[in-house]
Amino acid sequence: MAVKQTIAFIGAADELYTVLVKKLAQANYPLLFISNDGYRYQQLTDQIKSDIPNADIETTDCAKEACWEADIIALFDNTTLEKELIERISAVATQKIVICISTSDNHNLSSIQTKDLQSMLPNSKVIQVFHDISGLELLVSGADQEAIELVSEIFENAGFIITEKV
Amino acid sequence: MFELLHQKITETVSISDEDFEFCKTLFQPKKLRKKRFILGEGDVCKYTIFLEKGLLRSFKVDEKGAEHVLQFSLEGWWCADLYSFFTGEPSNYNIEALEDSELLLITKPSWDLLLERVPALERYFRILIQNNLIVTQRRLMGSFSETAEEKYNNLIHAFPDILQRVPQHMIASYIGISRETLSRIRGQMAIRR
Repeated sequence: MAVKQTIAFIGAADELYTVLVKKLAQANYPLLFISNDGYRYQQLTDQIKSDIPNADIETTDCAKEACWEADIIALFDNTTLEKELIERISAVATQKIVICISTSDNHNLSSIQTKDLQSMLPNSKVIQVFHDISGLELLVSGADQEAIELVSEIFENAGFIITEKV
Repeated sequence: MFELLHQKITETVSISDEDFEFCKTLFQPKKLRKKRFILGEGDVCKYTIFLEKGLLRSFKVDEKGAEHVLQFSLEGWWCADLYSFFTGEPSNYNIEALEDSELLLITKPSWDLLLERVPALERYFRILIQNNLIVTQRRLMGSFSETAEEKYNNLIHAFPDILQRVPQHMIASYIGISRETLSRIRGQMAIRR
């Protein structure tokens, strides 16, 4: 019995967010949605659970608790990553993979953000994932090869195609 | 976080603040809810686990679907399938949280780095593995020579509050007897008291 990684998500529930979490839920990854707007994320959870009855999803407003429980933390660049939030999760993100997810259009913006993120989370493994919103293709990049491989494997299990690993 | 780990290490060896700060950067903190698994049979055991809070059980499921409990781990204990952790071979058993738990996980590469950089911890883990070997050998010998009642007594001596925290069928499985035999032993012990 393979134990699947629990993934915590921080970001606005836009189209990209919805596509990714639905596919990961379908691949049986336990998911934790972090939000101050519980109603909106609960709606998304209910919608996914109606399509995938055994989806393992929970919504919480406590980023630290969710990131403590998670094996992998996914941050979407559609939301402002406040320094205070990163400081709050820093202690529980040690040695964890932190994925910074953005659309291909935000490539440059995200690169800058990832550098900042890595300096704010020096003991985490920061990985960038770029998604082409029109398809299922992803580009994965980062400094830790093992983390790149694991993130690629997770998204491939969820039905995405990894076009490049940098 | 890390207070209990520091306490357990300093009960055995001295460690500088600087070395312990370095040690903290290599552990992954993880909350594990009751009934969730940190290791599944067939997976490689990627972590050695220090249990800060909660309770874990290591168990194997046989071909008939019966569970065999190998070990319970409490606060302040270490837990892993060391064979799988050191060899990279798939594990033969599962590790599950019996209570909501807080863990500190360390991978093999981080463990190697830690022992290389901090000699005090190399000594600490040598003593830990030495003690583990003694307990394992004692348990192996006990499995041949001890009665079920002696095994039960040894268990409650090692884990005084285990009866309040673990279902009886798991205790019976750990001792290697049926639930009915365990009930009979407990009944006989109660009469003698």
